[in-house]
Amino acid sequence: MPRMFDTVKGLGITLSHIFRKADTISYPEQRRPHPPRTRGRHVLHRYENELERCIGCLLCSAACPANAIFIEAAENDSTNPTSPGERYAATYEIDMLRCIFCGLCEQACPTGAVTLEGETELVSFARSSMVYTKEMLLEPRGTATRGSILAWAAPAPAGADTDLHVPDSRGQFDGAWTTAAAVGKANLPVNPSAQRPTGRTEEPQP
Amino acid sequence: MAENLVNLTIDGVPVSVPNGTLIWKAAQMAQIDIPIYCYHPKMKPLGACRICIVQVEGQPRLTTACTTPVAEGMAVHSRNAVASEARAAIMEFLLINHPLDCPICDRGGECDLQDFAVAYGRGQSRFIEDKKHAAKAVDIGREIVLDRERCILCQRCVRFGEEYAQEPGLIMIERGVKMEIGTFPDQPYDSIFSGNTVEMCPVGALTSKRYRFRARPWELTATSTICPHCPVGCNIKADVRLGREVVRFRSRENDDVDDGFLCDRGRYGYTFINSLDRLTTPLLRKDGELLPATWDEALAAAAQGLANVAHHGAGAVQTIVAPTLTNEEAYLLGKLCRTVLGSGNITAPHGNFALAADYPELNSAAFNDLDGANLIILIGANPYQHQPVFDLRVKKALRGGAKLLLLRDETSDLDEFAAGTIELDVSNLDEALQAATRHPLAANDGRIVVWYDQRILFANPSAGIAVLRNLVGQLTRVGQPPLVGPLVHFSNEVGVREMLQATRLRLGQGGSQAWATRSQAGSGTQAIYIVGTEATVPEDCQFVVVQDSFLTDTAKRANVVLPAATFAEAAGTYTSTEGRVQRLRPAIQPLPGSRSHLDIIIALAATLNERFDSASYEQVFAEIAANVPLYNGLTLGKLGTKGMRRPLPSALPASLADLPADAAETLAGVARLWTRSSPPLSRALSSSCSCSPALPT
Ligand code: SF4
Ligand code: SF4
Ligand code: SF4
Ligand code: SF4
Ligand code: FES
Repeated sequence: MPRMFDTVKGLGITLSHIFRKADTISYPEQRRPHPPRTRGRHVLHRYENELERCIGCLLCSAACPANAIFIEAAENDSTNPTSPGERYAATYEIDMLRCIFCGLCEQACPTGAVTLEGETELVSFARSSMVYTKEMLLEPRGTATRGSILAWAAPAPAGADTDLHVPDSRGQFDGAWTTAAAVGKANLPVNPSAQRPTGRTEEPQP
Repeated sequence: MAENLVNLTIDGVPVSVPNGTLIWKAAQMAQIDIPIYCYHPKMKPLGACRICIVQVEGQPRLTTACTTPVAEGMAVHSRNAVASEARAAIMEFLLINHPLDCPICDRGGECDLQDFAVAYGRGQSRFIEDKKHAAKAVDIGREIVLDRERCILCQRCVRFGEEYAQEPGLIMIERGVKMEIGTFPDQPYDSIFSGNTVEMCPVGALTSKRYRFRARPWELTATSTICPHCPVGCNIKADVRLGREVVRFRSRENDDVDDGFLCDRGRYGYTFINSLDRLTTPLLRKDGELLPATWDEALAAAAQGLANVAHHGAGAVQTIVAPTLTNEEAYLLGKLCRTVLGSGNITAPHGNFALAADYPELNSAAFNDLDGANLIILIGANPYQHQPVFDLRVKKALRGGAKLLLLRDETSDLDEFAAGTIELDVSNLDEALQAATRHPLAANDGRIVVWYDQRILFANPSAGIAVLRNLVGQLTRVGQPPLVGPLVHFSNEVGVREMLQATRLRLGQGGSQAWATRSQAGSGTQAIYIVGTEATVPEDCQFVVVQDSFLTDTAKRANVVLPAATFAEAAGTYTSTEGRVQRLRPAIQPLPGSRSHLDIIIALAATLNERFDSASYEQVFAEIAANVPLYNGLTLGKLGTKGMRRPLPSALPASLADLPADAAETLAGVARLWTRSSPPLSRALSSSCSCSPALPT
């Protein structure tokens, strides 16, 4: 007996949806904004003094479950450094075909150098061009953004997993040049030798 | 023994250890880990860092496990509440001034400070003041960079130079909070042993210039192999980054050989493996020019060229063998020459030491015998130059109470350690050795160990050997002959020569030419096959095949160049100067385009229509074990990771003069020899080898 009404009920639901506004949009003419914590293509960030945030520590590649990141570190030229501190990434490549966009690299990075951003349309006709080099990933000189790291550091949206650790949110360090480099606080003038901390008198950076 | 044992408990585990053992060592025996920074098992305890702090029941204060010897009935607690709290406090102190450098520090990932901070530390620092800052990336020597902020002042590096290597090295400057590591003014730390300090530094304060920033420990896979740079045969771990590049050598402690240390020649002797100049394609001379060719073309050309000459007579093709090839490669080369090229004309650039098969009494000493010796006699040796880690072993034995008698004709760093010196004139060996037997140091009844540098036998090998045997007789005390060992100069000089002796080929004479790793082709030679070394090629030589990893000057003169892999890509065995057979394992695959020496030899033989029974180094080693008397019964399994000394023949061989000098010189004889795999060569046959210099009887 009640089964008879099930059919009518089902039809009723269908009918009610016909008159609702459609969820689909006409992509690519129309696009929806991505939420700020979208994990898309990576960006390597710079400081305002144009030094690269990345210090070539390889922690991101160690954290990467897909083995997508390849880095070769090298010693900075102290007169014309690429990044603060002694070490920088001479090669930095992410294989976007391997990447699963988990964001672990962003979490692992002690300096906030690598973040996953909103760009999700990664397509190419050749596999080889899906290996993104450092030049492709680095933000241009003169730009110094923080990227999604701010979205992650900000209070989480209601219902989000709040347990994610963002190293940069620590907001504390003792003023040593390399420590600054190591925790992403090295927003100092370009010549590090002029800025090498000399002793206890040095003021801690904010 | 039993009465010297002391019983105690550590964390409730009962342990019995010899009297005088330190608590730390006793805990190790009971498999209880007590952390250490300043203590190093090969050096005297210092008690500077306090991280090894433990509680001993009944003692009012906590004590350091690395400085306190065990006592009967002791009850030690290494991880109860008291000890743990104290250790956490020590950890906090150590971290007060330690910079947050881990992301850019080479040690990150294999750092004792990181590991112990996680295992024993508090997790949160209560120190809110500014840290002490000091100089970073200080260039203190040829190989080493120092970071003063990271240093925890454990003084291991200082004590290594002072106590172990016994040479000027790193020092402590200033005292108290200003204390730091440094060198004497204007004296860089350029010791040939400096790399050891990098390895023993518990933190990232000392870093190696060559390895700096090249890799992270979690990317590395280690292969247990052997250093190929001198005949000591130190055990190493070759660290390979991402399966591709050899980035570092570390010591793989083998107390019988290296006591856990390496010299810088060995430790940093890996860069050539990654060189961009490596040969990756065979080269063939066409119209006077060396042009790339395929392997098949090159092998065919090499085989053709050698075969064309081979029938001109037994000595027409000469083979020159590097003293750095493995036993297996040398053995197969001997076999190739003998069976295929029909030539006994084979040279290895080496000295004329007394071969163990013929003179076991001149090959009796092991490195370990140094430690129990009362008197060490070094004849013409300069181990600091040629066998560096042997130099460390001698110094260690001297610290243990041995006396050193030097017979020398040049100055060396051991001069200041010698209890007696005798001027040596290699052309008049007898006089110096007579003086040694009469020396007051040689008068007591203790154990005497003699090591002679092979170069003393260059001038007149047979006379030299006679004089050495005479010395053995004269120094025999209370029925105990002295232990004697040769000091050769190349990693597998002993093994190559023993293999060639076994393959019963006429070895070319050594001499000063050979000394410089160059060997001279003999007259009558019309074609030369040079494997892994450089050689002087006579103008009129028609055909030259060079098998090497680089386009050397010799290779530039060749008709065919075969690109060979380096030792890091090869498998095989080496025989060290003390006769220890050790395994070489490949850390990486041969560079694409190159092949291992062994594969090339096998392929060349195949091109010459000779199929060897053994196609892999395991099989060749089994063949060696069956056919080479000294190696009888050895298996790769028995060699294990630490190798073993090949047994010495117990009796002296029959007088060689009784045997026809060219017993095995005819090809027919040789063909017979190779076709019978068992029974193995008899002693008499093998000692009829005509390779040894004219032998005294
Ligand atoms: S997002 Fe995940 S998979 Fe992609 S590179 Fe980062 S860690 Fe690797
Ligand atoms: S973790 Fe960050 S600083 Fe380290 S290598 Fe990766 S991007 Fe660079
Ligand atoms: S440099 Fe290393 S080994 Fe030397 S005292 Fe400092 S921490 Fe110890
Ligand atoms: S002493 Fe010889 S075998 Fe040992 S590391 Fe140095 S070169 Fe290599
Ligand atoms: S290891 Fe015992 S005091 Fe340093």
